Amino acid sequence: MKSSLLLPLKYILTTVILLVLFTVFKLFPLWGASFSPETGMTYGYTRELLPFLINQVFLIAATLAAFLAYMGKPLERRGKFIKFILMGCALFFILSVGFSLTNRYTPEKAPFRAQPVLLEETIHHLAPSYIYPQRVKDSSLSGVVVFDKTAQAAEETESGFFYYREGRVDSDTGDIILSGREEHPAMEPSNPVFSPIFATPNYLAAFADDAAFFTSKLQSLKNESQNSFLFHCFVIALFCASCGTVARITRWPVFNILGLLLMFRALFYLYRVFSEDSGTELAAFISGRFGSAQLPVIILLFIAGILVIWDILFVHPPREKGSRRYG
Amino acid sequence: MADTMSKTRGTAGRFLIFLLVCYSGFFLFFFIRAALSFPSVDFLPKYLWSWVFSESFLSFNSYFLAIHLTGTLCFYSLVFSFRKNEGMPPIPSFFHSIATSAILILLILTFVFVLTSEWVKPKVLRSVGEMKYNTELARGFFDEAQTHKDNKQYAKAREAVEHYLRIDPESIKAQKLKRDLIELQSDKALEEELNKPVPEEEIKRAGGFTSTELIEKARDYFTARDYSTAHYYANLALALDPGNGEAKTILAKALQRLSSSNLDSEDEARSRLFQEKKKGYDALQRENILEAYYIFKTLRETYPEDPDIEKFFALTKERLGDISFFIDEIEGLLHLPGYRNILFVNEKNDNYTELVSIGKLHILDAGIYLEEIEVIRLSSSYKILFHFTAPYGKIIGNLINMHAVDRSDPGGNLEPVYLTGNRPENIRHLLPLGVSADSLRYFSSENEDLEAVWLPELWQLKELAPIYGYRGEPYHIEFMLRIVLLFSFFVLSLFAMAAGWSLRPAWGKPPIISLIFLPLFPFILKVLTGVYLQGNRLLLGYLFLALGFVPTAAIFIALQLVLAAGALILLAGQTMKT
Repeated sequence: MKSSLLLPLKYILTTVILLVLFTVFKLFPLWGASFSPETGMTYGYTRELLPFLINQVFLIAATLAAFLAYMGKPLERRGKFIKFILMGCALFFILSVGFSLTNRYTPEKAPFRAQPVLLEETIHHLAPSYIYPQRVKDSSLSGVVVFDKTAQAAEETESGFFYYREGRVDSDTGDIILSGREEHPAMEPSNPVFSPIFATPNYLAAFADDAAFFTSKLQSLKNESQNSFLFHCFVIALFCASCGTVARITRWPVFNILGLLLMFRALFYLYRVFSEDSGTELAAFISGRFGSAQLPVIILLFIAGILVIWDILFVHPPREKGSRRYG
Repeated sequence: MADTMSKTRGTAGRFLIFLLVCYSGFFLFFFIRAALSFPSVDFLPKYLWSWVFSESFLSFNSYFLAIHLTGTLCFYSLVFSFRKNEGMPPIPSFFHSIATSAILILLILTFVFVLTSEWVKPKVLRSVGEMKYNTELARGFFDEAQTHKDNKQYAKAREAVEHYLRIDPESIKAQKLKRDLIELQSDKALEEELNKPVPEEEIKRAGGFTSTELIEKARDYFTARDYSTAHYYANLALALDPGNGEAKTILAKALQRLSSSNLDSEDEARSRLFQEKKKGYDALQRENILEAYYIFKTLRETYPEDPDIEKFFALTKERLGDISFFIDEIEGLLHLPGYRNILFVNEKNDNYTELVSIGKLHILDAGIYLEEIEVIRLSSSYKILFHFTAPYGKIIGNLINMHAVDRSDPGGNLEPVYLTGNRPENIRHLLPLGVSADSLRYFSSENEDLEAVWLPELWQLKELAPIYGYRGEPYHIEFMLRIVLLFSFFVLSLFAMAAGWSLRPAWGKPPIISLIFLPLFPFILKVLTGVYLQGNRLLLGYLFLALGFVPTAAIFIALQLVLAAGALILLAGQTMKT
């Protein structure tokens, strides 16, 4: 019983630790995007931004913590149900509190927009063109050389260099407005020199996107219906708990752990795949009267059910210490 | 003791073989995948196998760490075992006897990883880039040839198809086009020959002049002292009437007069030759090398045996090489990929800033040649001082010379075209290089993907970038990240050993189903290692921007040593139980 009560506490603690870690992970690129050799790192907005960053990462932290909670010491069959209920409540608590606190701080509402950073007397690559400003003062530019081979080809000019005496960076749109030029080069990324230093590899960025999508889905669900949200939380908790089966599914822990990681990734991918065009069609075809929006949660429930049955029927209880055979 | 040693060596050998099998298996997988996905849209068919090998190498290299960790993890989890002791606990071995040889293998593999990532990979990436560029170039030449052919400009079309064939000599399509063009060209020549207007004399001959009329004309011209025309008409009259005595007489007399006048013209020619030689020599004296070159070149064609002309021609050609270059020197390089799209700040001071763009750079033993040069110089008061483009250039000394000379046609020389402003006549085709010619290639667009740059180049780039108008920080960080990657290879391998050792099957062998999924392991581990490396990148980037190069390097070296020590402790702490 004592261990059952400790489980949610441990879970909440793990979530908080992971939350801190992921938030820091998110903060570094933002600091990088604001860096300029003149001003250095600007930390002032960190406090203002923190709720927005937490909003983006707390679901990953909460889910990963749930996976870790079931990955550790195997649960005894007897207390399993109580532990599952407690974990479900803890997850519901974390997600409810998280969403309530950060509801106003969705990324779309974020006050922070990385201020475009152009450095004077520096060549910036803003594909497909290159920009070289002679002087930069706040957002106004003087003596701007644009080197654009694409424009040269399109306009059939002899020159690839285009010169503008004056210009400015529009901080709202992030475009570089150059007097006499119709097409304004976009500041993408907003800090072309320093942002790429913190660039995320595609396969990790895809995971972050899926997580953000999952977060927004759950958030809108919470805003629409509390009951539906509660149901989702318990299904996610059940899915995480059932994945404990994967952690013991074979006698080879390496395989089990990697399988568990795959399940964790799949959880986030599932919501994304059914939001895409082909996925929506498939969802409509499969789900019929349930409605395609409910399909991911039904699939989670289904997988969880299979894993629980598998656990009961096939997974051997772990051997006691000292019962290992010497090979 | 000897038994322990041989057992250790045996385990290390098995570890190495296991890893090699793992590497080969995955390389084969990437090879098959590449062979099935050749992008014929981007590459010529002749690049099929080069591309397949390159692509499989690059895919393998990007997964190398994950594959290696999979191999290590699986070996220590499934294959590695201790000496058995007949149902009793295994005979303990010293940690160093188990780990030393494995660590030695890991160190060797780290070196191999360095070699492939830092030396082979940039070369392969560059070669793939070149293949793609060559394909674009070749297809451009082919389209150009087709367009010229449609416009009946067969010579130009043939030139374009020749360029194509230099890149892809085996192309049946291009060879056929070339054959067609040759046929079309000869047909055209024949047609032109047929349509050529018939000379007046021929018309007159066909017009029905009689021999008497022709003799009359010959006589008139002879009287007028036009001996060559008189000779011509007398000859025509003899052709019509071979026995005509008067025609024979006029012909003989006209010939006699012509030969005596030829003697006078030989003297005249000798004098003219002398005058021309003098003119060339004077031009040489006045340092007008180009004029001298064309004079001696023309003379050389007329008087190939003249030793003076030969001597001065060689001299002018040599002097011309110091101040200019021939167009055909660079036109022979058009089909080569070179280093492309170079943009840099050539010179910057209180008064002006000068930016240079080079379309293509060829570094050869014969010299450094440039294509599509464009230069803009801006004053500190934001005005364009001058702006020009030049089709070709050659770096001679520390100058870009943009005066390209046509070997035979003085009117075909190429010079910079000034779009804004101008410069004095004697220097308008010259541009002093404010930077080193050898390092220009580092700033080509291929190097924007820093993966294509190897460590020594990165070291150079981080120092050179600010001089060329770029920021050095991205190169500094990339350089340190590469070093971290090498440490990570070793440290993560140690962690994989420890993890594999710790996570051996609880009993017996792992189920077959788990082994079936084994090929998926590198893809999962790739994400895990990606998270680890991204963490390093973020921390390193932050520390570098906040503290600078030296403190960050010191912190990171310390961190990597701590991680390596931690991994070794973890490894040493593993149980001997199986």
